[in-house]
Amino acid sequence: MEKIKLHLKRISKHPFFGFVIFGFVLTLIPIFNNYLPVSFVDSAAKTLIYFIVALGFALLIGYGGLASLGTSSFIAIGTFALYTVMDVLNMPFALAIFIGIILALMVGVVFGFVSLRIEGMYLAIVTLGLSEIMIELFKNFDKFTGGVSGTTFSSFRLFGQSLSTNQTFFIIIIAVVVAMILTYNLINSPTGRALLAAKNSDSAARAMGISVVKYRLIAFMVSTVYAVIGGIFYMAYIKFSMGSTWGLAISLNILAAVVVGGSKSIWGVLIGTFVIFGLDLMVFQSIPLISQGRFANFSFVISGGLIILVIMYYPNGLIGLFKKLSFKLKSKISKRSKGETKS
Amino acid sequence: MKRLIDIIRHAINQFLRIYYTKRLLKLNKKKVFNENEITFKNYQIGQKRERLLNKVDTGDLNKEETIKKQKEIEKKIENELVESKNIIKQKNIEIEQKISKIKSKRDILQSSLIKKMDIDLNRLKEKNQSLESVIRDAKLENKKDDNVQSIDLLAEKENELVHNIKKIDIIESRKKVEQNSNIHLSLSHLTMNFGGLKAVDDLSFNVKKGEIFGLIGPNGAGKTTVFNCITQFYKPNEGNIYYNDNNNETNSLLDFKVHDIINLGIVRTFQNVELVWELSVLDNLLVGAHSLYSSGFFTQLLHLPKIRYEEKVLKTRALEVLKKLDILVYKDALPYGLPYGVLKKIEFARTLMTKPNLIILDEPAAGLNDAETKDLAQTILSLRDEFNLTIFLVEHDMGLVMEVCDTICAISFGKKIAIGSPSEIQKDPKVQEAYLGGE
Repeated sequence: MEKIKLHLKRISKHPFFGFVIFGFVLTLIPIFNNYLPVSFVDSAAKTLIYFIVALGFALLIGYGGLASLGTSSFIAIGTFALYTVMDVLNMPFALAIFIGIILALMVGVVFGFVSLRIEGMYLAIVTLGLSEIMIELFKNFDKFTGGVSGTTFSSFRLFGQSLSTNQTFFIIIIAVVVAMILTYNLINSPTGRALLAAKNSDSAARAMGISVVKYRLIAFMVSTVYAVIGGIFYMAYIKFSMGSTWGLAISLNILAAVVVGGSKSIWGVLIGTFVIFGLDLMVFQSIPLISQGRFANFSFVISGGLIILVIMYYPNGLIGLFKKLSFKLKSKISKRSKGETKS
Repeated sequence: MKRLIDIIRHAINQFLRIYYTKRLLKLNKKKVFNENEITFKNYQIGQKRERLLNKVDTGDLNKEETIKKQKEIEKKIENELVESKNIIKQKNIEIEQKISKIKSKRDILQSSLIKKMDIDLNRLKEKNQSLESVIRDAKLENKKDDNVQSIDLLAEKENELVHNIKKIDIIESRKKVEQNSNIHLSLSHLTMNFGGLKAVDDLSFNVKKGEIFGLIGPNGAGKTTVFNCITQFYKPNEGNIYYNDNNNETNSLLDFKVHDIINLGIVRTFQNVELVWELSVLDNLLVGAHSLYSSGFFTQLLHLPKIRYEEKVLKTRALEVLKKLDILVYKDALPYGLPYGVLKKIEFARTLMTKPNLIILDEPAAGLNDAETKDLAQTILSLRDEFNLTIFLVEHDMGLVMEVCDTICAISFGKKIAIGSPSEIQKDPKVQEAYLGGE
């Protein structure tokens, strides 16, 4: 018994423990699917998909210090890759992932090479331009993308079996947990440290033997791969994608999610994504006073105000607030337990 | 046509030679890592021994039995130690084999390079002789009639002659460095222009192995530019920098990129401390050890045993270095907000992570108070002796320079004005003039 307790304690301290528990909590949503409003489940799925994208983007901006506004076009690549491979070519899902990753790597290299010359604001503008070009391309390749009117995905098949939305949700949860674990590994590895070093001081990093070129390319490639995987799951769940919807607005929302939550923490990114994408549809819409009548659009005002407040008081993201709270809680608990031992 | 082929062949040779040299340097880094591995194993097995001994020593058992068990454990531990050392030795032997293989390939290329250098040298010398005779003739003629055109021509020729002599000297100094293994770093006719401004002008000096070499000069003399040229942040317009690594192989630093320089065993610090502010002190040291990691991207992504092991080994090294510099207490702190003296020490510790041969310190005492400066001087001296380092520093604090340096080179406006021991430099009238101004 003692041994089991010790073992459990050790497992609970493992960094992946939280991620796995989070995954199990999420499974409650598809399990109790019938008791929840449809819009809630859909927006939860969307939030999770955007969370995968935001994780990759956090690596780019939080660790690499590279601002990019091309994220939405990477998601679009993922959606169209899935459509093309499974609906047009009738090939299995694994090939869609493979082709999606290869496309992502190619695009990532292009964006990465741009980032070698330009930094900061200017990089953001150039990536915005590149993504606009890609959106125009999507509009014109109507065989693969459905052109201006967009395309509907017939059904998501895995190993020859067609999956329901609920089953797809489970797969998305697995992808989220895997993405969290891989991100954690990466940011706590020499790669993550090298990215931070290059962000802090380019010359110091190079003097330490870090090839800045290599790591910037890696950062861009990883973030595009995450975005494309997110896009693939978006298409598998939402089943509709239109080239022109993947514009600046979504890129900016993902940027806001990462900044609001805290770009250097996985949980921070989750909180940020929830505030930007999930809060409105999952919480405010289910409150009758806000969602109906005159106040129908009031929820946007609330989330906008929240963003302003967070940026003003917690420049390192909402995760700073949560850390402070947990620290206070812990110190209170330890004080109380000390008092008990004294008395 | 033949010349074109020659040029292409030379370029390919050059590329391959540098490629092989880089491979060799990487393998050398693996050797350094293995050295760290030995200390790590010692530490790990030592801990295991203590744990096992504690388990046995419950006190209740009768003494003879405990002693017997303890002896058994000691024996087991010793065996383990020998075994792990053997494994590492085996690894080293494998690395050596690889090194000798690559070296034989590279040496062929190297010899062709030296041959080409010799040919160049002969050509330049012939050219010089003809130039000298032309100038002599022209001078004789000039005495007869003062022709402006011919005077201009003469000046041009003379310039070319001087230039050629410099080129010959640059090539010959490589040979000198090759033959003299006591020289660690050699600057030969280094010149760096920024537009019209000559930041470094025809600077040459040698840094010997194991000495502390100081570079001094008034503000704007070009000291930091010299550093940046050595570490390849700037590519000099003229001249060359040669470096003898710890295997006594001569390399021209101009062949390398900035991030390869650390693999040669040269590490630098910066004028204003350049640490990673978001990482703890320990992680900052691991950034310094970046070139010792050999695991690839996917190993890191999946956190496979190899990367875990490397992290453990290098963490023990980091702790060892921190302990040596007396800053072990700060290991988990963020560098932000720590005293400036500690930050300087952290940066110093970071350079020590890769076991370098040459450390370049850019104004180590800037911003320190008197006590901290004295402490720094002590650390520099003791570390030099302990790790067999050569230290090359730029400094404004004359007290520190005179105290620690074996040789000092004074420069002003990019030109060398004096070189010698501290007492010689103090007496030198030119140095006094440069610092205090002429009459």
